[in-house]
Amino acid sequence: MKTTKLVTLGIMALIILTAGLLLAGCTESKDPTTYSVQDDAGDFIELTGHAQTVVCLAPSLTEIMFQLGMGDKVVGVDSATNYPAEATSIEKVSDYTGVDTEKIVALAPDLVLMDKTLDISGDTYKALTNVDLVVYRAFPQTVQDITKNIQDIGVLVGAKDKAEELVDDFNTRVSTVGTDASGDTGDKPVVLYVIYYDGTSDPWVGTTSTFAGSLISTAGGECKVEDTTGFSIQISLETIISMDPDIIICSRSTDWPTPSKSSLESDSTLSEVAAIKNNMVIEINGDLIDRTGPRMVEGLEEIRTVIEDYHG
Amino acid sequence: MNLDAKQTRLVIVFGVLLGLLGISMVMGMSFGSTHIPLHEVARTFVSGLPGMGSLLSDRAEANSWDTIIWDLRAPAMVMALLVGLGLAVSGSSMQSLFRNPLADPFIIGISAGGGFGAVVGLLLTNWLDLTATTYSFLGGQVTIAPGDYLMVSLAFLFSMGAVMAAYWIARTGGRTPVTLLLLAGVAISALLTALTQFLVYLRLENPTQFVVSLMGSVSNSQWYEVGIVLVGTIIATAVLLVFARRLNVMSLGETEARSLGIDVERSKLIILGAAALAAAIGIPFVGIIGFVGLFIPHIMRRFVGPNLRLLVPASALAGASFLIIADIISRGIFQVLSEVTDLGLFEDTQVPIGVTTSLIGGGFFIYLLILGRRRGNG
Amino acid sequence: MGKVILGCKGVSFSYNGKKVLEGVDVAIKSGEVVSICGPNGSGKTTLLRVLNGVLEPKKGKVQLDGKDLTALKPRDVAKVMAMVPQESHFEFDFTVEEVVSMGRTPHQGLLSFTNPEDRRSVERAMEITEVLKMRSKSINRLSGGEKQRAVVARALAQEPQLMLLDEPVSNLDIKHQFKTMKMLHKLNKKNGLALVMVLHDLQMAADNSDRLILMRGGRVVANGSPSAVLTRKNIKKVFGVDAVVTGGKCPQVVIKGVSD
Repeated sequence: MKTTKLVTLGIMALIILTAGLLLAGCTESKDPTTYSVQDDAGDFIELTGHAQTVVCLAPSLTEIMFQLGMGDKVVGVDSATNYPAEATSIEKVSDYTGVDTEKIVALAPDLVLMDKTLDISGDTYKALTNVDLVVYRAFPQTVQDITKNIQDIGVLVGAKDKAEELVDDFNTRVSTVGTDASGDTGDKPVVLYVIYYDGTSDPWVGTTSTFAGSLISTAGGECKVEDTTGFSIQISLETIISMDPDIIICSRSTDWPTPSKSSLESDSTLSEVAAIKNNMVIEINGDLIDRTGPRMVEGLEEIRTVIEDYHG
Repeated sequence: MNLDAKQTRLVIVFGVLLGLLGISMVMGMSFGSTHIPLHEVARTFVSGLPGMGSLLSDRAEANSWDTIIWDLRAPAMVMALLVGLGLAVSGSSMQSLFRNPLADPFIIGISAGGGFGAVVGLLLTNWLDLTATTYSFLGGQVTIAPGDYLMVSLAFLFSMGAVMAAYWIARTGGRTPVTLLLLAGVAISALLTALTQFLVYLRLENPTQFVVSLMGSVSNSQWYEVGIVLVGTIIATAVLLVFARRLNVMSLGETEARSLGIDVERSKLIILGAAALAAAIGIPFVGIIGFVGLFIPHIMRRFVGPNLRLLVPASALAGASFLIIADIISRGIFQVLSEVTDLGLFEDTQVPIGVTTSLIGGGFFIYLLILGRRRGNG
Repeated sequence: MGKVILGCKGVSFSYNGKKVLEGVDVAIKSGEVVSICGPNGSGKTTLLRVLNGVLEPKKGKVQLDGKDLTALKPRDVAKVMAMVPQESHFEFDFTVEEVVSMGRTPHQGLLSFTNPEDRRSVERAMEITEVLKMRSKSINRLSGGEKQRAVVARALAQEPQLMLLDEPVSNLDIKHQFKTMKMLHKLNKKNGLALVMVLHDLQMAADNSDRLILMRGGRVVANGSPSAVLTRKNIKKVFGVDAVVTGGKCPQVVIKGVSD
């Protein structure tokens, strides 16, 4: 009798113990749900459980992560990263010469976010997938594509709702600018976006196929630098004189000298250009215009403000 | 075995070169942005060798170390080894063939031709959308990369074409004066470099990516790329070793070579082909690397003499070690500089390997020239 | 004196449209010593190169052992015929032994290593030419005479039946001229090596040759034994100088002055 009791107790203890272990195991093991999105390169990205550690190879992607409230999951960033301030202290794993694959491997991230624009040759992508990293490639062509990136990343890192919220806000603000712009009367001002000019070689400018071009037209201006490549290009001063822009927006940066505004204003050959004559050479933080992140809408709003000033 | 003074010296020279290569290989595996203790490097390396059980330590980082050692550092190190070897072997052969110690793949047009071929290949690869595919095969993995094959073939063809064109331009009345050949090589290099830049600035692609990749880097080399370069380098080096004796004779001049029984035109074509292959095969993967082919054979000639049966292997060993070390310096120089100078440099930036080789090689070469001039033997 | 080993018939050659050789017939028998003399620009060196197969004649034929030279592989030619150029330039500092070993090229296959036979042949060639003790010296550190001997050694290492020499003594002082000629004479007598030399010095040619060929303007003017060729008339015709020739079978030539 006594033995039976003991055995029963023993078995019960064993069951409880096993169950406890199983339970403990459950809480420790990963969320078994599979999260899947199709990235801009057309690849399907699948994660079992949300990504807990993320490497961002472009400043725009780091900004998305922080706006999603997931900044603490970012373990590696690009050396050009400058926003938000707390992101600058994260380990740098890439720069304009390429990525430090070894560093990324050592960080063992669940997910690597990269921008295909910075890797047209595909070398970086090849190197990363070769060491079995999960890579999401953003390749936004339009302002609308940025919202898709935000949603995709939200799904992968477990901030789906926050992403929707962010996208709603983004879309609302973009359409507000659009609505305002449609109310403009009179001719659309010709807006030239100068990325860099120091007087020594022809200015680098935004074109109709760059994001700057589409922001200008959304904000009610007209970009007259026609190009289809999607890259910023150099145009001659002669072209600027004959284009006679009403507004010149100069990219300003805190990371490197941007003497574009003073160079343009002090150039005597340009003194008859409308924008310069009428003091309509305005500096805007270039990161808000060139960087395909959530803050692009701020750039749009700033351009809209300049155009509203122009209309008076 | 009794060795005379010369043989003893050769044994020492080759012993030192082999030791140097061994040390550079270990260094190449040990240095990187991630600190891995040396004994862990050794353990990870050994456990990755075929036939060895896993000896990986149970430290949490062991798995990422395995990836870092075997998928990043080892292929980069072997790539540097092969490319340095190829360039040095190519340079030593060219110098004898053109009877000019200043001839090297860079000057004679091979590099420019290879660079142009690689860029054309890259554009075609993107345009035709050729992607590499990895298959499982007999337990291993085989990567078929038509784009890379295309790039390598074009780099080889254009580099060969560049030398042949230089040769054809310089050939007058059945003879090829060396000065004319070098001038033609320089002109063709300039032309092809300009054409390459033209293609780059056509903006079919992101220009900076191109410029950076042509500046040279062995990091992010992959095993299948190493495999392609390995095959080309072995073939080219074997041919040059087999032809070493003939090439010695050809360095006396074509007339004398012919009267010593050499089919000059045929041998020249084969040697040029092999030299072009050795120098061009790496260009699509690591870009254009200057000076190795010029100054490595130059220094080695001082140690082993001009006999190519010794000079080719000596240059091979020295070139291989040199490029591995140059790569380590390229990767680490900014880190060191920023630590010792506190100039606020980007400590994570790498210098393209071609910049390092030209800095070291160019500086050393000038030193040699000045030394030679002081001694009065130029 | 045996059969004809090297010969050419009706050979013409021109450089950039300028005729250098015209209708030249020459036959060299095995074991024979033949000197080619003539003023500068008479086509001596060109003839030597055509005979060696380095230059291909525009017209006419060159035959080695009865076979067309153009039909033979360079290495088969080099096994029979060696060439000692007037000047050898060595861009790289090969040792004497390495230079002499290059003479073995026609006997070595692409993949074969240096065999004992090669080594013996090189050793013997260096011994005959007395460069053995400088074997590990750099070729560029030798005197003119030593360098010349090393190149002759290289030609000997080819183990040819016939050696062509382009002004083998012109850069040497009198003592070394004499020594070199003596060495060549010995090679001919002991080994039966046929020699074809371009020589400037008529007396030296007369003393050391079985046959003389006088050339002028790319044509052969006289061809025969020294005594038959070295006549007052021939010397005047070819060189434009007045000479006194004495001595019958062993002619002695003394130049008296320029004739017009």
